[in-house]
Amino acid sequence: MKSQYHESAKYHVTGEAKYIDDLKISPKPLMGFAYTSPIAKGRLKSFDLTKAKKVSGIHAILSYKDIPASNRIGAVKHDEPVLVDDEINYIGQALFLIAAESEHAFLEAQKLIEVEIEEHTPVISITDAKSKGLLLDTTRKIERGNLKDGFKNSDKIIEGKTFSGAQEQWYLETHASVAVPGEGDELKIFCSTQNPNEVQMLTAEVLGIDANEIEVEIRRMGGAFGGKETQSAIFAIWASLLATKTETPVKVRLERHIDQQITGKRHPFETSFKVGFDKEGRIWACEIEFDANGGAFADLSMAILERALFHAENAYFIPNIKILGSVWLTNIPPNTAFRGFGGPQGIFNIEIIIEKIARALKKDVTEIQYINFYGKSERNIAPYGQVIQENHLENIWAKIHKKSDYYNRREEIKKYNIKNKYLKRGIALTPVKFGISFTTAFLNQAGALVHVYADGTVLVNHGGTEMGQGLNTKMQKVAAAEFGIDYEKVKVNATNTAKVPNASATAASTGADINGMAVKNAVDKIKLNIVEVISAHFNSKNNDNKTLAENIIFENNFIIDQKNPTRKIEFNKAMPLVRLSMKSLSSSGFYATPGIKFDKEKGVGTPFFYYAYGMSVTEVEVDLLTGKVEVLRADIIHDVGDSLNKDLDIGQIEGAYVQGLGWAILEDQKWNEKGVNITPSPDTYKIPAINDMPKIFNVELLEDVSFKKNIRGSKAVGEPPFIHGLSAWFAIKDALWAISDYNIEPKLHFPATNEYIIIEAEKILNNNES
Amino acid sequence: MNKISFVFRNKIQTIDFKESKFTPNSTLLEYIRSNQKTKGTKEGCNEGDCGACTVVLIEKNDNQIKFRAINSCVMFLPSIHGKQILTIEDLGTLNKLHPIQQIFIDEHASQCGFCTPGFIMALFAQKADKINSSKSELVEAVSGNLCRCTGYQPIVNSAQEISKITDLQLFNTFLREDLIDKINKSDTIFINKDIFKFFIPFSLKEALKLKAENKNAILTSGSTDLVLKVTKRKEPIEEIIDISSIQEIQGILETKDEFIIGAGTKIEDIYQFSKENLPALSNMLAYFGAKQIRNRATIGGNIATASPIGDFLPVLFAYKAKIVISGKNERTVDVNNFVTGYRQTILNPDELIKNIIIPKFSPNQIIKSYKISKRLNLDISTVSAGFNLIVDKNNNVSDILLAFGGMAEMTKRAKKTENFMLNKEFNEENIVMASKILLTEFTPISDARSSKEARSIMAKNLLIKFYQETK
Repeated sequence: MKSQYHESAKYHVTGEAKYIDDLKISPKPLMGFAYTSPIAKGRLKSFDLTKAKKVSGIHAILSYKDIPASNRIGAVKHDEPVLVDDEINYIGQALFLIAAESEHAFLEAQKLIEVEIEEHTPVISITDAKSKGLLLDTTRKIERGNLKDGFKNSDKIIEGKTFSGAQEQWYLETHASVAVPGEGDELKIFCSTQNPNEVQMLTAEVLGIDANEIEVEIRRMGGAFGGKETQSAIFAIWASLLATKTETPVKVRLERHIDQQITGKRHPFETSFKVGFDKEGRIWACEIEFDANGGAFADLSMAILERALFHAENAYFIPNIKILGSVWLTNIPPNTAFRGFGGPQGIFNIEIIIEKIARALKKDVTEIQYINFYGKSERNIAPYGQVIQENHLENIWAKIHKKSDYYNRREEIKKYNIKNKYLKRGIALTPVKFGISFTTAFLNQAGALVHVYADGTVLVNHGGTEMGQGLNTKMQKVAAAEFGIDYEKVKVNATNTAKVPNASATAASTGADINGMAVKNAVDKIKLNIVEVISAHFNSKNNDNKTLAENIIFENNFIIDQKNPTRKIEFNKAMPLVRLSMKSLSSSGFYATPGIKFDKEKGVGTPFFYYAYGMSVTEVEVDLLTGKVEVLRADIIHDVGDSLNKDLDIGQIEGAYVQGLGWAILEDQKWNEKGVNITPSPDTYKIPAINDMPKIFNVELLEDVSFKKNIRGSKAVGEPPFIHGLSAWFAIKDALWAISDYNIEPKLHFPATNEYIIIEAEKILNNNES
Repeated sequence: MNKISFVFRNKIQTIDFKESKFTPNSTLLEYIRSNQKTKGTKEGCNEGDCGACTVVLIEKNDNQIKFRAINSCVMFLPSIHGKQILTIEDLGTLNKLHPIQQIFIDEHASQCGFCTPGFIMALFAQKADKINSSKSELVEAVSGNLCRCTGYQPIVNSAQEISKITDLQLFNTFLREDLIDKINKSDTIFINKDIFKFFIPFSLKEALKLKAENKNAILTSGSTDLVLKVTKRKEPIEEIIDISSIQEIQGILETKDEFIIGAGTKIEDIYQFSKENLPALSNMLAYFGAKQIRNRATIGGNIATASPIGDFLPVLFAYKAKIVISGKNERTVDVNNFVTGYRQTILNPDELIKNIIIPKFSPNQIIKSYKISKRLNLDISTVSAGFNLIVDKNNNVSDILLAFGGMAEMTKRAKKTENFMLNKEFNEENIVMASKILLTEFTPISDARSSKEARSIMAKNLLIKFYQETK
């Protein structure tokens, strides 16, 4: 399909695009604030709000005692208090809510809140949480084959540990919600969220009102990346509690340093592994144990952990394998979804294993990757039993070597490294096989509501949300293509729980897949009515050679009898006829992904509808003296099936690469032992800027890989290309290997920022001298 | 009194602080976003670190018009007096897009769109200021704009296309010089509201008088650092004297022996000047904040804050610069002696920095500067350095100065290392020995930017790098 511009592009570039904080709400909303905990672990002993409530400009101050119904929320487990009622579990956890006319009034009131808190020693690290047995849920396991035999058959065994760090989503638009009370219990919430349905349901539970009283709407988000999958709900609830109390609209919008301080990140993982392989480098056995830092509450941690387990072997067939995973509770904000959702952590670990095997055997890493790839007809079953289909690994591997001129550049780099003592170059290839579907099977459902108006224009509502990824553009194109009309005739509405109920979060990269199918389903139903009316219309003039309904097609803004092509009518001229014939031009649509099932107890099933594949090759130059890394070039080939919108998909891949690169080499999220986030703002937490992107950046979509089972032959794009950024980390490691002429393994920190590169390079350089 | 005037939305706007909901501590961003019609300027971080709030500031000084991209979140509202502001809404409408806006659409340069107005304004300012800006200059102009969606490639592609625009009228058409001229820019502005006093003097004499009368008042110019006290630490600043409108302390004068830089000169202007004349300074300023910050921040402000990680001091040490201080009397001190401790200087409460003098150096002096930061652009130094070396005919060190930032509570010279190197041959063996002494000379701290171990190695490595580049 031809590339269309982002449906909001003209609004973006003129500043007309409205985000939550830009909406005109009447009457003017009060500002909602939280008084938050300054300590990471303790108890709320007592408090007195009397003086604070008297401050001029303060309309309400609420404690947990003011919560009408339930004070526990959560995406899966309801374990998180909206307001602290006893235990305090992280810095920034809300104790009280304040509705104020100005920030000034809030700051004055905040000073007058009297509160007694008992401070306990917090648990921050995974190690500490493990020693205290703070397990969130049962350890997850996936197992296949016989490890013992596998290790016995191996020529060599390597054991080790890996670590990958937290990452802040850093959506440009911070969390924001406005709650507007209506008649009786009615409440309209504008919320920057990937999950309006969950916002609706949780708000209903906390307020003790029926879900049908609450309408949640989101036109667009200023970025989300998983950070608004579950964690926007609490801010909508804050606004709703204050709005119902004051009977006035209330807006909660987090300042950047507050947002970064109190919201969850990508889970840090500590992983231990043991791998057995033969002389060629083929893996015979592998044992992997993940430990994730879940933060203070459950959030989506178990699902994230499960996805790490599902990606623990990435693109490689491992006959004998055991994967274990646990999530540990600590006193930092509950960690949450972030593009990749555990997948990147799982894949990083196995790619380290592959790299270590290659170095041990003095072979090129890409050779070890190649011989371990899943096969097409054998060696094609994942550890959890799913058959790997539409496997494009070999194809992409060959193509990316050619595209990146891998072998020649590898030799050039070696020459360069011999000539330069303090400047070293490195190159690395990272493959990805990424499973698409929510691994919680029932979430793989979507709804849509499509209207056709008598002038031939179409209005699409669907349950997905627009966060910049271009979902609405794709839905517009899907509806236009299915109706055979120009996409300008189709408009996609703001996502609204009153239009499409019970939607899943726009997450797991499934947005276009499932909502696209739901939109198509709605369009198909409307087309049945149109076909009935229009074939009758054609036949009213023809006595013989009647037009059959099955021969009616929708194409180029016409409805045509393809057997009698002279019988045709313009789409917009046809719609009044349908209306005159008293047939509906509106329909809901529904889709549930077929065949998804997974038995968590046994660790067996078909958790994914399909896999997406891709590979990247990155070359870097590292200045060993300053730790400065220059990303010289990146080549990517990625599989999105038949792209729904080529330029948008390439944009997703480029953006994901740079975000992955940020995680791997730049973004260093640090907490101190007291649980204070010491990198809580862009002053110290550095996401990639324009000069951090590759100097040469070639992104290509894999061609001729239509995936017929999905909407218009396409595949998901959101998360899988995030993995490509890891190749920058491995390229840096490759460069550091060069210091010792590939004899000493660099202990490269994750993320590989200048601070760690300098220290490691210093060690290896000193070793060379002595 | 109590009023400021500026040009915005094709009109002279006047804010009477007595009547207004704004205070002198309000920011320009708060003012812009308070209007339902100008919500296109976004708050991404409210600390000058993301560029989402970028607007274009048009100034007229000495009959020169200058377009500058600035972060509206780190500018006090009164400081816009006498200037014109352009926001995204001024550029184009849905039916009549500015070419830069059209290019962004064509190149798929927006995804979530939240950062987009900031990027467009930064690029607009760059072109308005220099119509033949190259692609790389345009990319540099947005090195302080963060985008989390695109990975920047389509923005780089847009820069390529924008570089082809040649019609200056597409930019100048927004200038309302007629209105700027109508605003009084000679009588001191004095805003007095609640606890707040805010002064804008237009002469050095007036500024010194105000400073003498208001000893607690804080001097500010670009205020890119000072604003954070209000917006992040939530501490009101009651008395402020904004010296950014004093022409006498702005500009660069080159004489036979020295460069005299007015303390109020914008860092961006010094950067552009230094490209030809002061390479070590240019090398440092290329990575000073981002263009939006350099367009407001001044050399005097950077020095006077006396931050141990300020970018100017180490390189000014290397140039053996002098600082001219105005007060009751005028005095000149070596930059060496200016800072006395952590954010402490020798300035008396009634004094301010007038000029910075960089003596012209002899061809045999090797002057270099270095900055190590986690990210290349828009990041604060982890460690920085300024070095000055003279090697005699026999390859012996006859003069050496090694100044470091980020290694102590203030910018400091590595005197032991200097003493060791002096009169010794400038060779690898001696540098290795010197670098070992250097490791013992500082006891840096660990913080969010780096561990102390890494800082020590960085300082040592910079000496080695200096040798590698100069041997």
